[in-house]
Amino acid sequence: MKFSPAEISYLRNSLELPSPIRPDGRSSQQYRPLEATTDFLPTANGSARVRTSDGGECIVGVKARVVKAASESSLINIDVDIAGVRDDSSAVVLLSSTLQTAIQASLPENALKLTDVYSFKLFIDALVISQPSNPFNITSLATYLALKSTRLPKLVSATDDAEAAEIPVFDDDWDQSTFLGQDETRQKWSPPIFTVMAVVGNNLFVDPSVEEEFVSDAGILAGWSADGKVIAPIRIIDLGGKRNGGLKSTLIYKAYSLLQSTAPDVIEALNAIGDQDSLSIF
Amino acid sequence: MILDADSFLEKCIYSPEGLRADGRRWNELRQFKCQINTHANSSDGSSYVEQGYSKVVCIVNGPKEPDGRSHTFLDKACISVEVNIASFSTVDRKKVVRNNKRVQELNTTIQRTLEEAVLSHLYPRTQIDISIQVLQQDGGLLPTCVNAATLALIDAGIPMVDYVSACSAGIYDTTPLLDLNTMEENDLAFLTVGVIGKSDSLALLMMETRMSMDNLEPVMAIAIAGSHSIRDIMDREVRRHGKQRLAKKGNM
Repeated sequence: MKFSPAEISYLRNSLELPSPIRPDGRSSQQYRPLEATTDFLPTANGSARVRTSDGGECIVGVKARVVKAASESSLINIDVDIAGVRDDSSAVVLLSSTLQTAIQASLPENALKLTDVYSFKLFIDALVISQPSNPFNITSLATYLALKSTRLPKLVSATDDAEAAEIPVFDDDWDQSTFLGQDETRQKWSPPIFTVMAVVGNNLFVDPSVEEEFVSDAGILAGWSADGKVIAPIRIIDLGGKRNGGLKSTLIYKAYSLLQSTAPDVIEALNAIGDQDSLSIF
Repeated sequence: MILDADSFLEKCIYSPEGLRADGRRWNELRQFKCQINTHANSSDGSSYVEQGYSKVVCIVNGPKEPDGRSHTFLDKACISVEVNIASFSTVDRKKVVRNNKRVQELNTTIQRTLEEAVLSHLYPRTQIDISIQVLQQDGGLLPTCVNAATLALIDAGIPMVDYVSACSAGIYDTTPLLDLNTMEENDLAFLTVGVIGKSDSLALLMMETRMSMDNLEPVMAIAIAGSHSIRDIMDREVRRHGKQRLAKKGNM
């Protein structure tokens, strides 16, 4: 997108103010309105679709497969496909590797374990259909919703197969299935979420739009867990704006507190979506 | 009772009572659901089509400035089709590489089919991008993609001769079966046709299996009839959407 010098200067000035004004009138910790559906693909264990008002859209499907745990290097595989972007481009690699490490670290240890030999392997495939602004936000939100809606069938064969080999057998009844990471107390696991923030002068803006990205100094990417704790990695990313040197350390503190204030609202909104039932995406 | 696997499967495809595995009769389509203008904010034209368990999203951008010399024709628009098959679309996860031969063949087949119907000479030196996302597959991948692309082109307001509606049909013994699902596609000889409007003229005829000459005519006839009913359903959706848009305009 191209902007005229007058537009750039207007955007830059209004965002740099001590009490900044965003072009769409949001507060600095507010996400854009989004529309989401979960669990609409019967062939996947979990699925979600998220789209934003500017036309960004991401569909995530989660599938589980039974594997021999010893022969797999990792039990989680994330694959991101952005329409019109090469699979080995830096944006795609950053997205998939960041999500993979964070989800792996946060998933309860035995969530995928079936028996001593066998285990589930999760394949998380994200498909970004269109992305006017940075695709990190919608992909992360869609992945969160898809993982939240993921259900694994109930194992009916023995869990102890260290001595006698046994192939896992599952209950045919899908109502008996459990949510991914659900423990004995029926407490649900919540995957981590990543947020992109744009830096303009001394201000930070959550979920920047194209205009905001264009006039930004840099972007900060940080993850947080459902209980509001900020998690690694926290890194500076390029949002396509002009970069001028490093960031002030105060901005990192600011990002930290900004995330902690956004987190509860985002989680509440997302969980409300996950509780609705839907079969078709439109 | 002992059933050997082969005879059991045969019975499943078409029972003596005249019912198929999913309960349809020989001349019945699967549930066909479609919607246009689903991605109003991110594209010029868009559609969503469900044919049974096959689900496809189509996005059209254009006519627009071509990407380069290779996409420029002096006398007509360049239609480029890109089908993207999601890894989670099949029952067993399968990663489909983008420049896979089969996908590329699918791209060119759809492109040639649409070139028959789109009045591309009205837009010289432009490019029309059609991107199709396959979310779920259960047979009839090609016809579902063609139907979705037609709807999205109509939504984008690109002039066409008429709808191109596509449908597959196969042969079981001597009975033609309409609109096959994956299980039937794996076991039967089948073909796919794409029909322009309510006519008998074909923009697409694709057959990758062997079929005896005697069967060809009834199978094609039923596939064309199926395409005509799909055209009607698509037309209804386009009119419904048009009315809705007009009503909104009236309220303003």
